[in-house]
Amino acid sequence: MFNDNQKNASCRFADEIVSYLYDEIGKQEKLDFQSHLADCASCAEEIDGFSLVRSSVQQWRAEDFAGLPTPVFEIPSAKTLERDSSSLSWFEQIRAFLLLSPNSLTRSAAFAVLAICAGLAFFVFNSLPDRDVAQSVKEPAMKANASPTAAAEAGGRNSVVSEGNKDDNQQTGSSKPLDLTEIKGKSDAKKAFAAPAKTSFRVRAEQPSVDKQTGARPKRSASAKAEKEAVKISPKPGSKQPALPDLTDIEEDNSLRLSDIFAEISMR
Amino acid sequence: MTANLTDEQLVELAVKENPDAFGEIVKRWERKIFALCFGMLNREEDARDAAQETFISAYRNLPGFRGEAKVSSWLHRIAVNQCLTKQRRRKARPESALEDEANLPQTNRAAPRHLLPSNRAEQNERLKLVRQAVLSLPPELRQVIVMKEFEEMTFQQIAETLDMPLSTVKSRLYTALKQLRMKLEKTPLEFV
Repeated sequence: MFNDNQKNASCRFADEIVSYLYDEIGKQEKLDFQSHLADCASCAEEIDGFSLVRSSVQQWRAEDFAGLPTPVFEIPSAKTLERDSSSLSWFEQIRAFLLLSPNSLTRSAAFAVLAICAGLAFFVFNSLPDRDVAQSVKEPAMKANASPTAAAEAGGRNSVVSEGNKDDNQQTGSSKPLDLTEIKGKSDAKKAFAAPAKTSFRVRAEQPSVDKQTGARPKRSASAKAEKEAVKISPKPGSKQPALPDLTDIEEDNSLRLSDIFAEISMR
Repeated sequence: MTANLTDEQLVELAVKENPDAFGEIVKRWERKIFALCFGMLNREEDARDAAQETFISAYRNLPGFRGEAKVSSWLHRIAVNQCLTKQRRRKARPESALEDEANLPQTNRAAPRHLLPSNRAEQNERLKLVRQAVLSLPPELRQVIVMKEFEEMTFQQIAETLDMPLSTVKSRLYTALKQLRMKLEKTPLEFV
């Protein structure tokens, strides 16, 4: 029952010391304890020490408190309380509410946890890379692969322009219409550009044709540089437009295209 | 009319119909709450303020009282928190230590006339040690001994008010008395 500070922990009457001291003990228990005190020196000493402490505290009470009149406590009216509470700072109001509503602590803690989780989720979501740009980089590459076979046969300049945003023209600073006259198979070209791309970049490169004799496919060089340039061109919403790079020195895209394969098959 | 109602009934009445019913609760508990605050703070002015704040807070939060605990427990909890807040603020002010010395109650007024001045000085010194010893107790131990000695509550009443087992109340009181005894026995002054 008592902590380890108890001196006479082994005494079975130790639990009764305070009860006996304050005379809140049954008659029979009192008699038993009194007879025990005659035999147990530690309990007797404990009782004596506690009695002195009690008398000191009671003396303090008698000296300092007993003569004090009970103050008159004024309970303000409801209106006054409303006025006073409005003058309290928001911190004081929250503190007063939590002080007297222990059950609301659980609710407040749960709400705080939810708010923190929502904030973290928002932060993580915002810190993710721009998907639109990443996706836009892929799609034109895929579209370039699916460009019409005529593009390969033309052997000329092949403009690959994605049907991006209208801002595309603005970004490049050119409103020149797309030149598809060199591209044979307009239906294929239409198919290639049927689906609007999300990209907003323009790449001009000479597309080497498939060698009819050898059937060698032109090697495709990595278009990563072009993609990077494209990424640079397409600005993020709300941000200032960066300076447009010079695209004239972009390497030729010699990667294998599906159209080339179709062209090869048709030739055979 | 309201004198026959229990504390919980008075609270319900104050919330629903008659706010003045709370006055009966104040009348029942004002002395005990004031005694508790004085025992915790040892200053009349602070005790009065803490008790006033206790009743104002209780009145303000009457609608939120759900009856999960007794009204006495609720009031005591508010009062102890108010006292601890006041004590923390007092500790934060360095000049408060000097104020405490200057505003100590004049114990001479209650000293028996037959005591010689030297005895009175010793008694004052002893009382000062007792005050310091009680105030140095941890809040949970101080509260129990103040409720026992100042409010003169029984063990059962303390257990109900603090919402704890009877054995816990006795254990805390035992520990508080033991610590007080150790602190007071360190001084060379004799006990009378």
